[in-house]
Amino acid sequence: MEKQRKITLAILIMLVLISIIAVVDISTRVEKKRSLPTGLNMMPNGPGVAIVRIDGPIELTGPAGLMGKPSGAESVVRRLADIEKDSNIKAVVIRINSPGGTVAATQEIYHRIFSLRKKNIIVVASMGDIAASGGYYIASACNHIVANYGTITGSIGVIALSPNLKNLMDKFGIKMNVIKSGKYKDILATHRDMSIEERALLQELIDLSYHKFVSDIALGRNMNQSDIYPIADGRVMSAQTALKYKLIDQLGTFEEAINKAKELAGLDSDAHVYEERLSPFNEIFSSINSLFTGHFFENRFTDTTYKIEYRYMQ
Amino acid sequence: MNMEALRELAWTDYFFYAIVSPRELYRRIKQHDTGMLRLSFSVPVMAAFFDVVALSLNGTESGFFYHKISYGWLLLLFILLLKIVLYSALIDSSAQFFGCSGNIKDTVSLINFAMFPGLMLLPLFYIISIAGIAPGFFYIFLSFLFFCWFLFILTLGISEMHSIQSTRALALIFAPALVVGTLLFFIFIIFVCSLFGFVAG
Repeated sequence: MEKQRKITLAILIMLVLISIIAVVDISTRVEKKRSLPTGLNMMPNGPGVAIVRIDGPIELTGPAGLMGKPSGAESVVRRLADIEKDSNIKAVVIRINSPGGTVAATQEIYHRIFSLRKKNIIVVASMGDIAASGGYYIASACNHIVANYGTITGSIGVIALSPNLKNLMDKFGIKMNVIKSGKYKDILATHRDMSIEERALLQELIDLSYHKFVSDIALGRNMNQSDIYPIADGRVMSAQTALKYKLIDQLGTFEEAINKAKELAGLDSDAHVYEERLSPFNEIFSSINSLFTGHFFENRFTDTTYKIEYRYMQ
Repeated sequence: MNMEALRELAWTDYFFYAIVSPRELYRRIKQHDTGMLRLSFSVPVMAAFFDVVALSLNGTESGFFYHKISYGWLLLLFILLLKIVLYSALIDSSAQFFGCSGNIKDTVSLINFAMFPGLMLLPLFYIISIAGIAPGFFYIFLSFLFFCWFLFILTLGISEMHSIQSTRALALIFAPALVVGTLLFFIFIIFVCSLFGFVAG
């Protein structure tokens, strides 16, 4: 009887111990996962290539993410910063599928890529359907640019636009009451014609951004500005034409861009590729969040905020 | 249960007989030792905790684990205790309906101790999850296996409690589930009919 009781007690103690070990084990795994850079969301697996995706119009902040997670250019910049800190990442492939975007957001990403290059991390741009204007601006910061045959690129230029609804408003008898502190405070107003002074002021702003665009491309591509200006007239071009003007380095697919990144970084061909991924939980909630915040259906007509953009207008 | 009784380890007999002899387990319960009912509730407390841990071993690691192991455990325990009390009441009612005497306190204790072998799921599943041999499948398989063991202990315990045959004891256990299931089925039918009527109207 005594022996059987002791055995039962031993079983009970074993059960308690196992539960404690299991809890500690799970906690350790959770903490280990937490200690990884949040943006990368991946397990360490030796030296490799990280993938960063830039999709759609580039703006500093996109639709608000779950639990305050940044989106838009901010999330790209954060991911690039995480990559910079990660010793496993020897090369980065930036997959660009964007018609461009706002000046500041584009420049933020451009400078972050340059920061990676300074740390001897190879950055290769892979262009998707479109990498025009700001999309190309970002690509120009990379060590090497790979574009598909069908990629639309170029569109080097700056644009700011606002609709002129004066006639429409006159027709409906709508008048605007404007109380302003300075004569340029309602620049780009939609209810009246633009004055010559306003146009000159905005043109100066556009020109400054344009020259910065060209000088940054020249710096990134190691080209003379004089070679870029003749083709920096806003024209879009195919990847083949871009190759002719040395705006890109190679025609090829996304896979070829990854292989090129591995080759330039001196990695093995089977080196790990760190794909950007959201947890299923985050994916579901960010989709729901987009639906409820109204970003799911972008409406350019109701978007009346001033934007000066490196963007290809389709 | 005083310190002397604790040292004697007589309380471990309940757990021992839960595994080896369910009929003897009930005979021990019947003696109504001091603290027996309280001791029996240590099993659902552990069962709820072990369930959370086993499920966490199955899932992906995230900070949500800390919520599961604290609030989740308490919530699961509350639900489990509610289930035990409700199901004991139903079994007891069913027993009285079939002409047996009511004994809800002992039924609660019996159900509690019958859950004890189910605690072995965690160590077994832990080994499987470390080895990585189809953990999802084995979790379901082992859960089913331990549920059958739970039913076996409960059947023999009820059989001993009311001095009836095991098959009749099994009927006593399944009768409430059958009644509740039938009731829920008709409620569902009425709900669907009402819904269609509402939409058509």
